[in-house]
Amino acid sequence: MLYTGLLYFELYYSLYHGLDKDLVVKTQEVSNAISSYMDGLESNWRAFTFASSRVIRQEGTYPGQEKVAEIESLWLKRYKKLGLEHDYISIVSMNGETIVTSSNMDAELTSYFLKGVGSPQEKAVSYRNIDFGNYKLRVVSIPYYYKNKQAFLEIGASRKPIFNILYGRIFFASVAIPFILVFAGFIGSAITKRILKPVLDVTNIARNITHKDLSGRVVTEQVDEELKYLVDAFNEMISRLDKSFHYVAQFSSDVAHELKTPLTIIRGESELSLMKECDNKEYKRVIEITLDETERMFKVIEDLLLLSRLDYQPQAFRFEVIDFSEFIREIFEQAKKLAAKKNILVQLYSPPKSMYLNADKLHLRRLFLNLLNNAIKFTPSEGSITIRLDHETKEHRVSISDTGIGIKPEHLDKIFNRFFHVEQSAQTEEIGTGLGLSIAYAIAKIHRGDITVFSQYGKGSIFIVTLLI
Amino acid sequence: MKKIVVVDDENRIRRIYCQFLIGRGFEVFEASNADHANEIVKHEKIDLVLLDIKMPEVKGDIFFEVLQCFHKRCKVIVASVYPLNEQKRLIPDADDYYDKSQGFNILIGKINKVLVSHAEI
Repeated sequence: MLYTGLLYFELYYSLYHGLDKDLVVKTQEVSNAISSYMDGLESNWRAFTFASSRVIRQEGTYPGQEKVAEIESLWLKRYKKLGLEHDYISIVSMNGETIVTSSNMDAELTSYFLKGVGSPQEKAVSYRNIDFGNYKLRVVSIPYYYKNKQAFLEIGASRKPIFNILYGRIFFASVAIPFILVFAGFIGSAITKRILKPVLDVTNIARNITHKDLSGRVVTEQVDEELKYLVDAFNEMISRLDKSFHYVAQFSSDVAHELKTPLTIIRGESELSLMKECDNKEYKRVIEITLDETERMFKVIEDLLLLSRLDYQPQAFRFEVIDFSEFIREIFEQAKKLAAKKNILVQLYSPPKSMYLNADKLHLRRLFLNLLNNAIKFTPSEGSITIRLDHETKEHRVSISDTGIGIKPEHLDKIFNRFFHVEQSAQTEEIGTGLGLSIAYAIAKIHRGDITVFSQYGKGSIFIVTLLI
Repeated sequence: MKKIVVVDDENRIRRIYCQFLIGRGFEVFEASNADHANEIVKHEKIDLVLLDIKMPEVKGDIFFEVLQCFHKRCKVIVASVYPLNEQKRLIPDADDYYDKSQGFNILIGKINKVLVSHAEI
C-alpha cells in the first residue's frame, strides 16, 4: 500500500513536471514565432498585435505581409505539431488588457486568465492552476519584451489527461491489486501443491507400509531436484527394509527347514522300526540315528543363538590382550588331534617372536576351529593342512590352506551365506549346520577383521583371516 | 510294479523313504541330486518322482521344469519339509505335495491317489 502511494505521488509530480516543461517549450516557440513575424515586418505595437493574432489565431492582415509567407507556412506546420490548437493561448498587455486569445477561449475564460496575470516586475516563468467550470487548466506565463514594452504570453493546457492517468492509477490500485493478490494466491497455492505433492506421496506411502507390503515406492519423475534427494533416500530406506524383511523371512524359513529335517529323520526311522519286528541291532541303529539327529538340532540351535549374539549383542564379548602367536599354536595343537582321525598332516609356519592382539579369545577360537573343521571335513585322508601366521604393520594374517576338494567358482560368493550347504559327498558323512562359515565371518567382523577365500576346485582352498591390530 | 524315484540330498531321508516304499512293493530308485535323477528318469520307465525342493546345485523347482518338458508322463509329488503352501508357491503345477514331517500314512495315501489317477489315463 505504501509502495503504491509512493508510486502515485511520484507519478503525480512527474506528470505535472512534464506538462510544465511542455508548456514552457510551447510558450517559447510561440514567443519566437511572434518575434520572427515582427523581424520580417516592423517592430511596433501594430506589428506586434498582427503577429500575435497571426501566430495564435491565424487571423489579421498587415501591409507587406507576403514577406513573411515563408515563416507563416513553417509556423503552421509547427503549430500543428505542437498541438497548440488544443491549448488556450492568450497575450495580455502589461496594464492588464487582453490583446489576443486563441479562438477556443470564450469571454469568461479570458477574464479568468486575466485575474492571475503576474505583476509587471515579474521576469521569470510562472505557473498556476485555473479551475473554472469545466476547465481544469495548467497555465504557464512568460513575459514578452519588444523594445521597452512588455506583455505576458500565457498558454494553458487541460490537466484532464493527467487526471485520467492518475484516476486510472488509483482505479488500478484499488481494483487490480486485490485481483493480483487473489491471482498470486492461486498461483502460490498451485505451486505449493505441486511442491508438496511428493511430500504427500511420501506420507501416503509411509502410511501404507506394513511388514506385509514393502513394495511401495514414491515416483520420482515429477519431483523437483531438492525433494528428489529426500524421496530417493526414502525409497532407498524402504528397499533396505524390504531386503532385510525378505532376509528375515528367508532366514526363518531356512531355520524351520534345518530343524524339521532331523525331526523328519527321527520320525521316519521310528515309524519304520515300529512297522515290523526288528532285531536289537536295528533298534540300536535307530536310537543312534535319533541321538545323532538330536545332536544336530542342538548344534543348529546353538549356532543360531551364537549368530544372533554376534549380530545384535556385540557388547556381550569380552576383549582382552592375548598372545596371538601362542593362541595360534594352541589352535594348531587341537587341529592336529582332530585331523589325526583322517590321517591328515597339519603344519604350522609362524615367526618366532610373540605378537599381541586385543580379542575375545573364546570366540576367536571358534572362528579358527570352524575354518579348520571345514578344512578337515573337505580334505581326503592323507591330505595336508597348512596354517601360516604373518604379521604386517597393521594386521595379523592367518592363512589356512588345505589339499581338499575345493570350492566351485559359482559357490565362492555364497559360502558365507547362512545355511549354505554343498552336496553331501561320500567322504563327508557328517552333516554340518550350514552356519559354520557365517559364524566365522561374523566373529572376524566383530574383531574388525575379514575372511577372504581362494580356491581351485578339486585341488584345495585357502582361507585368509586378517585381524587389525 | 510301479517305479518310483526318491530325489533327496539327505542320505538318511532317502534311506527311510526307500525302505518304506520297498516294503510297500514299489521298485525304488534313489538319487542324491537332480542330475542323477535325470539319468534315472531317462533310462527307466518311471511312474512317480518324489521330489525334494532344497538341494545343492540344481534345485527341485528347476528339475520339475525339466520333467514337465521331457518326461511329462512322470507324476511328481513334491516332498519337502517346507509347509505345503510354500511348496505350492515354489512349484505350482505338481501332482501333489507332501510335508515330510507328516508321516508315512499320509505319504502312501498321496502316492496311491496320484498313481491311480495316472493308471486311469
